[in-house]
Order: sequence, then C-alpha cells, then structure tokens
Amino acid sequence: MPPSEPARDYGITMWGASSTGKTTFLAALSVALIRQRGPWRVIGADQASATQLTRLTTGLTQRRTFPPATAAVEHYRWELVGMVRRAARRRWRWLGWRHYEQLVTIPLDLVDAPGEAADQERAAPVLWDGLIENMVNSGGIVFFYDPVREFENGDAFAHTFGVLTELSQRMRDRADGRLPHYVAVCIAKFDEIRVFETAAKLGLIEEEAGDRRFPRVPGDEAKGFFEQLCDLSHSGDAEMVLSLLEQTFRPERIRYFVTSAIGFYLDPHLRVYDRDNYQNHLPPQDDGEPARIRGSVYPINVVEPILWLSQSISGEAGE
Amino acid sequence: MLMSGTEQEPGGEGLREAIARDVAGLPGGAAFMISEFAAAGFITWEVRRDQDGTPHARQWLVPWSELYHRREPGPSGHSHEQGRPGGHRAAAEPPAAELAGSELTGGALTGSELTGGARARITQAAEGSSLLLVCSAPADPSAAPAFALARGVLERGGVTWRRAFTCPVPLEDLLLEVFTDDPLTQWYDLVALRRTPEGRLVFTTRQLFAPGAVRGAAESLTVRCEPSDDAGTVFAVMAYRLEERTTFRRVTQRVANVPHGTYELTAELRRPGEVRFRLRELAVKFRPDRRSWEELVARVPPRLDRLRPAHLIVAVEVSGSTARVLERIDRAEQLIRCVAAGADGPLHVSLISFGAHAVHRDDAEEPVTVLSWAQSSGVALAALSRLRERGAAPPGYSRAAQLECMLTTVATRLTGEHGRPVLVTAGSRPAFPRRVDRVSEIIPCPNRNDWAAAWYHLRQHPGMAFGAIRDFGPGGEAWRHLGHDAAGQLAAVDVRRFAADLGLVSSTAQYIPFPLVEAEEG
Repeated sequence: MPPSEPARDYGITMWGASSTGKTTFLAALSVALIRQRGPWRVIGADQASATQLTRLTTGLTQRRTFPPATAAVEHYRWELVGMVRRAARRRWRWLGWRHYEQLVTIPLDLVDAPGEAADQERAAPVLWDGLIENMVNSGGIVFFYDPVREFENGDAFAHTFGVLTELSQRMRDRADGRLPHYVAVCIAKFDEIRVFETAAKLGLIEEEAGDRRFPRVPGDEAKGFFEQLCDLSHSGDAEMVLSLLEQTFRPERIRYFVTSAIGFYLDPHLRVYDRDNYQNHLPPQDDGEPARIRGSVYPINVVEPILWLSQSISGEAGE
Repeated sequence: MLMSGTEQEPGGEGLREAIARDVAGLPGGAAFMISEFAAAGFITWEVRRDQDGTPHARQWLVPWSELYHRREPGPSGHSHEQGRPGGHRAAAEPPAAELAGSELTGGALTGSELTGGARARITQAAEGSSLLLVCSAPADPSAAPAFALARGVLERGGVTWRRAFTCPVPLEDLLLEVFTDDPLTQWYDLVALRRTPEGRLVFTTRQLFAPGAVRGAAESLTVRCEPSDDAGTVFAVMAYRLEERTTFRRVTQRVANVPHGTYELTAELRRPGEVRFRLRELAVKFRPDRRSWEELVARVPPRLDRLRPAHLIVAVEVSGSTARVLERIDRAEQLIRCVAAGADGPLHVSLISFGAHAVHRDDAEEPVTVLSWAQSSGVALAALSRLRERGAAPPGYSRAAQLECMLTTVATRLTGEHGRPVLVTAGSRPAFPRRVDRVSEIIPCPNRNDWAAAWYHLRQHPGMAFGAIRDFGPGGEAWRHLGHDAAGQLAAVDVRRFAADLGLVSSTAQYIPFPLVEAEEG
C-alpha cells in the first residue's frame, strides 16, 4: 500500500513574493498565445473565470496598466484549448504512422495568491493556509523569482524556505522525501533593465527567430542565469533558493524559464527590437501615477511554463 | 580804409566789421584795446584771444564823475573781466545828482573841464593803446566832449590804423555779436575714452569742428555711456592747433546724467568757446561741470571689462505645475531685462520652450518650440508674455524633460553670428537619455537626441557659456553641464549676479566719467 497521498488535481499554483508579477503573468497568458499564433488559446472554464480573463487581458493591452495587487487567493479556472497533431500506428504497420488533428483541452486550474500569503509572519492565517493548501493540492507550481526585488529586498530565500517547510511538513509522508510537484521556476521581469543588462553582460542573450528579433535567454541557459542572479544578491542567501528547490522537489521535475509578462518595448514605427530603446516598464512617476506599460505587450516565456506544467501534470505528450 | 574822422554808424555795421576784422586777425594770447565813450563813463575794453582761440573781452570803467573836475576826486576806475563783454555798466553809472551838481555850465560837461589825469588817459588811448575809439553815447554831455578830445588827438596824429566810430549801439552788444560769429581758429575735439583690445581705458578725442567752423555748425557721433556716478558723464571739448597736436586746452566741460547705453551725440557750435550737446534718443540736461581735470582723470578706472555682443538663448521648461512654470517665466523675464539693461554691445535674445515627451498613446507630444530666435530683447519679452498666457504644457512623461531635444535644436540653429552665445535653461527635470539608462530608468528620447553630444557641440562655439536655473536641488549630470558657468535656484537666484557670472553684464559697477567711443578701424 503506497503511503497515503492527498488527493491532488491538475491545478497550478502561482507562488512568489508580492510584486513578483504573478498576476501580470497570468494576464499576459492570453496575449502570449495569440502572439505565438500556435495551436493553443486560453478560455474561461466558467463565466467568472472568463470575465477575469477578459479583465486581466484588456487591462494589459488597452489601458497598459498592471493588474492591481492581489488581495485574496484568486482561483482562475481556465482551459488551454488547441488542435494538436497526433500520430497513430496504422493497422498494417508497414504503412507507417497515421497523422491526425485532435482537439485537446488542458485544464488550467490556477491559483493566484497574494504575495503576502507566502510570508507566514505577516500574512493572515487564512491566506497562508490557503496558499499552502492549494500547493498541496496542485500538480504544478509556478515559482516566481524576481531578481529586482531580490536585489532590493533580498528576501527570496526567506519566502521560499517558509513555504516549502510548511509544504513539506504537510506532505511529509512522501516515500522519497521529495514533493511530487512539477515546478516551473520563472526568473521574472526579464524586460527590466537591470535583469536584461545582467543577462547581456553574462553573454546569455540570443536573438529570437522572427521579424522582431526580441532577445531571449535560451532554455538551457536559464538555470545558469538563475544561479548567476542568486550570486549577485546582496543578502547572500539567494543562492540557497536553488538548492532548496532541488532538495524539496525532484530535480527532473523542475524547469527554469527566463520570463517577461510584458516583454520589450517595440517602437511602433520601427517594428523591430531596438537594443537602445527596449524599456517597456515605466516605473511609478513623480506625480503619483503608478507604474505603467509603455507600449504593446510581447510576453516572453509565458506560455511555455504553463504548457509544460499542464502537459507534465496531465501526462499528455503532444508531438 | 577810412583814415581819421568819425564814422557815423546808426546800426553799427561798419564798427562790427572793423571789430570782426581785428578779432579775426588776433592771434592766440594777443589782445587789442577799444576805448568806449559811454554814458556810464570812459570804458577801456581789452579784446583778447585765449590760447584756445576763444575771443574774450574785459573792461575798465571810469565814471565821468571821476574824469571831470569835482570837489572830491574819487579813486581810479574798476576792472571787470568777463567772458562776454558788458554786464556791469549800469551798476557803474555815476549818480545823476553828481552830474547835475557839477561845475559845468548849462548842466553839461565840456572837454575843457576834464581833469588833467582824464585828458592824459584819453590822449594816451587815442594815441596808441586803443585800436578803436567808439562813442556809444554821442548825446551824452560827458561822453561827447571826451570823445571829441580823443577824436581830435586821433586826427592830429594822422594815424591810419586807428578809427573812431560814433555808434549808438552799446559796444558790449557788438562785441558779443562779433565773438559769436567769429570762426574757429583751432580744432575742437570731444574728449572720450577708448577701450584697447586688452581692456585698458585710454583717453582719445573725436573731432567736432575744424578751424573756420562758425556758429550753427553741428557734428554727430555715436558714443557709449557706461554707468556713471551721481555726478554724471562728462562731455568736455578740447581745442588744439594742428601744429601742436599734443597740447589740448579745455574749451567747455558739461555734465549730464545719462543712463547706460549707446547714443547719438550731437554737438552744436554756439560760438567759439561754447558747444551745446544733445542726445538724439534722450532728453537730458547738460550742466556746467566745475571739477578739475585732474579730479576727472583720477576717476577713470584703468580697465573696462567690456562684454562682447551676446546672443542670450533662454530655454524655459513648461512642464510641471502652472505655478512653477510661471515662476520660471518670471525669472526668465527678469534675466532678459537685466541683461538688456546692462549689456555693453548688441544683444540678441532667443526664447525656447520645451516640455516632456509624450509616452502614452493618448498624450499629445509637446515639441520643443523656438518662440523667437536672435531677436531683440523686446521681441523675446513679448514672446515670453505669450508663453505666460499659455501656462503649463500637457504633463507627458513626468520624470524627464526634453533637454536633449532643446540642446539639439539650439546646436542646429546656432551659427554664432549673433554674438557670443549664452544658453540659460530654467527647469527641473532631467534629460531623456539617448538610450536605455539603467540607473535612472528614464525612457530614451524618441528622437534619439543626445544631450551630451549636443552640449559638447555647443561648447565648441567661442565663448559659449551655460547657465541653469533649477527649481530646486543640483539636478543630474545634464543640469550640471547646463549650469557649467552659472547655476541658481529658482526661488533664490540673484539674477544680476547670475548674468554677471555668464559674462552678460559687468561683474562690478564700473563708473566711467567720460563717454566711450569705439576704436577706429586700422
């Protein structure tokens, strides 16, 4: 008899300290799918979730504002829907493989908890418990690491350690001592000047294929970039975040993504990425106006972690 | 020439001509005498031409009561020296009671009743000391016998170069007319100062009138009056002879309180020794100045920090609160007025407004606007008034202002032909960077202008100066460069000192007692 395992679903929990861009990430998901022109699109599984999807997306594209800080645990029931090309062995094997298109729906049960919820000392018990409970029940976790916040506050390890300690305690009956979740580690805010310039300085930038030639950090460099950013942290504790994650979850179930929900600024006249003029995030202005988005949104690595988590959790494996 | 005998001259024309001829032939420092038999007494006139060529006359009056027999002979006559003849005769007239109570029969004196001393005096005048004998009171019972005595001496002597005139016009008036119409015998120059290229002040002159010039001659010239003390600016005329060019003699010296500026000065010759001044642009009173030449020379500073013609470019940031924008405009106006009032040479003023770049789709871009370029200060002030009416520009991006576009605009338009350029920027916000700025995180200028490149380009202009008036605080790198030569805070800037730091006005008040003239070409 296997150890008792809590009932888990295909849900994905967004986890990160406050202001790390969790909600913005979700708001950019639909835009990212549209811009990719791939087979996937996101829809609301129920009316409330559809409304939330519309609100988040239009806020980002029309008003060019960031979503307000999440105050309570938000539950988004969205679905990734797409026609996926599949292959099947023919009856007579000598005829080879048969290809066909199949409508695939991947449920996105997303839980967006306030950043404060990850701080046991400061968060209301209901928030803390809500976050932990959702993580326990989730199959996947999107973990947000904000290098800018870490540079300024240096509290990434403290947030991570508290949550994982609690999570491990609640799921301590695991046979191998590691949690079963798939974890997409998102090194967020790649568009921020300091983050991007650090990547550029480390020589990790490559040009994206396509007309706009946006910069990106290749997937196989993402973990190294994460390590480098942790080394730059003033607290000296950030480097432990990586170790903690890999000690807590199965390393093969962790994948790293360098992401940006809003992407880089694209001059509407040039229509191509400009190394000298890429800033898309406008910090809060002197007159009290909140931070805004300068131009159109071109999300980077927003779809990929969600899709990877969804497919991993569901066991689906599209070609 | 008429020899002996008396010429009757009701209007005095012949006498005037005779005097004018004699005055004209009078060399500097020489004199001749005229004996006048006037109602007041026997007047001996000495007509002298000064070393500066100005004719003068002075008189000695002896009342008839002292020349005719009387009970108590009085003292000898009195001397009156004067620049213009006459003026004392009425006071010297003998009392009527003395004349009425004399020994003369019928109430009239006769030549036979002249005292011995009087006869000797008159005879001496007629025989040699006086060039002209003039009876200006032929009906006077005292003057007529005395004149008859003199005329007799003249006739008996047969001297051809002395002449006797009977003319009812007072000699004083004739002398005044002659002196007034006398042509100049020397050169008349205005005393001025000239600034050498090294900044030293040296005395110089500007020619007003040449020998031969007569009353009514006028000459105009351009002079510059620096700030003077309470006494005012001195306008002095010196006379000299060509053969002794280094010897100047002061002819007239007048003073007027003239505001600092450049003027067209007109000098009009009223008569030898008297020049009247007036300024075309300004009605001021020219007063006589009694100060000594040494005192005036001592007040001339050795140097004058002359300022070159300037092109003042005022750039006003119109982003921010309306109150703040209006305060910047006020300060710009003060600066322009201060510089216009204190500038040495031609002043050109340009006015530029700049705001913030638009960043959001709904924002209107407020471009850098050249409101006036290389115009007079008046035109710039008028443009500033219009800018005041407009008030603050749309807010746009609130973390920066178009300093880089403003500088690029100035760098593009500036040629240097309008004088030494001075850029004064009033504002607060930092510049938009040319590219992404990881420190400030201010978005780049959409036009990709580079404030530093434009600044260094402008810096190449000879004499270029930069002044900054910031709302508060020192500002960033761009403002540090913009305030390279002068920097001040909006609420506390001393505009006069600020302008002086930029070389737009003199740093210290230099009082220059004489007008300045530009150096002659070559």
